[in-house]
Amino acid sequence: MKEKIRIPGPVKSMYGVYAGSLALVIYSGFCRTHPFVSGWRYPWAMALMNTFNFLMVWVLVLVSFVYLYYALLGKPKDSDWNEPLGIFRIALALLAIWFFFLSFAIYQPWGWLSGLISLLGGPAKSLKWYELFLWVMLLVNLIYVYARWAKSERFPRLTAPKKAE
Amino acid sequence: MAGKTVSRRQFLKHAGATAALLGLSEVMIPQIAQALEELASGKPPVIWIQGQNCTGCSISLLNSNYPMVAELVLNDLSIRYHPNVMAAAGYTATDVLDESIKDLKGKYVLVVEGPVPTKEDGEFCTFGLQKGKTKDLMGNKVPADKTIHEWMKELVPPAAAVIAGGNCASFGGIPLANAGVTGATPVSKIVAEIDSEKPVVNIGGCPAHPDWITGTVLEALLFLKGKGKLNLNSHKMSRTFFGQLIHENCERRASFDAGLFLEDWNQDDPDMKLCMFKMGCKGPVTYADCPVRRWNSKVNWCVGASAPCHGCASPDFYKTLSPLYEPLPNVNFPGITPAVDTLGWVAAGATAVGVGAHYLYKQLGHKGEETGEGGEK
Repeated sequence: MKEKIRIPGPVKSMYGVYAGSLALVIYSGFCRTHPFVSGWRYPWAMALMNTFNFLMVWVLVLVSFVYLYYALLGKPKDSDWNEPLGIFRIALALLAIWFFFLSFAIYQPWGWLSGLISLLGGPAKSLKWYELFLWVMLLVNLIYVYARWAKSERFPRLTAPKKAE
Repeated sequence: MAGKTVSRRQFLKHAGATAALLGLSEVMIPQIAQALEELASGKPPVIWIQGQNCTGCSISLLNSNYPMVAELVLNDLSIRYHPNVMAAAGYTATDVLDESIKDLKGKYVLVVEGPVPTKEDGEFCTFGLQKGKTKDLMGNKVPADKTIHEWMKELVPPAAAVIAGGNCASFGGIPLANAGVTGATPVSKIVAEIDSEKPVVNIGGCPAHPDWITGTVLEALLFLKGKGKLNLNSHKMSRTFFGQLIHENCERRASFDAGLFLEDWNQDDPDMKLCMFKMGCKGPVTYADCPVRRWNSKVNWCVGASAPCHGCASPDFYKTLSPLYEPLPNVNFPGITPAVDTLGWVAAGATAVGVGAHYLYKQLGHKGEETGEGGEK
């Protein structure tokens, strides 16, 4: 029998907000790069999706910062938090922060991150990198969800096995 | 305005149209009306000089239909000097510049069309005459030509703001491309040498859209009157007009997404819907509102007329974005150039296979483990 995994409430909430905002970021991001496939094709609709995407990316990056603080510096000493794959989650948070900068650069290519745009080969190539990282964000997070499930006491079932009496 | 038989209703309509032109909210109409009234009564002066230009941007301004250019020149902006539309010539014309320098310190907006040549003492572009005389080739004493660089040194310090009209003035454009034999220099650099504190606004385009010119001049005037703010990007271009990627609003974007490209100019494309990316369209790297604003009284624009966007509003035009009919380079990975979506789907497939294989392996192993455990129990 695997050890029971204990997760503090704030961490559960953080992951909930992270996963929710990530889903919306990925959806609106793909809508942004495929306006005619998604149906958000009219300028007002595209503008709405872009703004919504930007808002959600902010939520994502702020949660990631909070998570990094909580996991690395602000963790209470008497915490019974024994959730596995901590390094994976830190990597996910860092990836989200990088994705935020990439999104910011895409929205304002001549803004303060114009150097990043130049580094990535100009606005057109940067859009391609953005699209590529949408896929990376999606797949890496799916892999995390699977890996976390594989580490849980439920695996390979969806529900936890009944305790032996 | 009343003297010109303009009713209050017409005037407010004009202010509303100006707000629409600038992309401002309707709540700004009273402030714009007030600013225009002050501008009209005070005749805010605009001085328009030309450097190494083709006069295309001036011709574009003359195509302005709302407001009509005559209204703009005489009522709204009071353009005191413009080589193509002023009636005066010779000393009568250049005296206006000298008077403006003396009498209108800090009041006029200087619009410069075309870059400033700096090689050979700037003699590639002159207008008017210098004070004092010089000797010609025959040894006769004649007045010396005055270069635009000299004019800039005199006109920039008293100007309230400087506007670089068109891509050539803003970024060097065609005169700066390739050899650049004349030493063409963007206006902003020249202004920075003369007075680094002077506000400069760049307008892209070859030529610049009349709305971009009038809108930017009005934005600058409203800013100087304290009625609005200059919302500029890092290239000192107004976000009102240069804030959207052409590619995002392009009417042929659907074809780009679907991978339907025009491969040859003789290709059969009766509906004119195929994406011209492979034929050199620079829409994916150019920020301008051409697809929405359109040209010639909103009739059409380059892509609508089956010509690829040349990126004339981009700071990279012409040098970096040429050859005009060569496609932009895509994302290059070593040895392969896959479309991002294809790569994404392949990675998704690989992930699914990996996860599935791991699950099956673990489940089969778990069953074996369970059997073993059960046996022990």
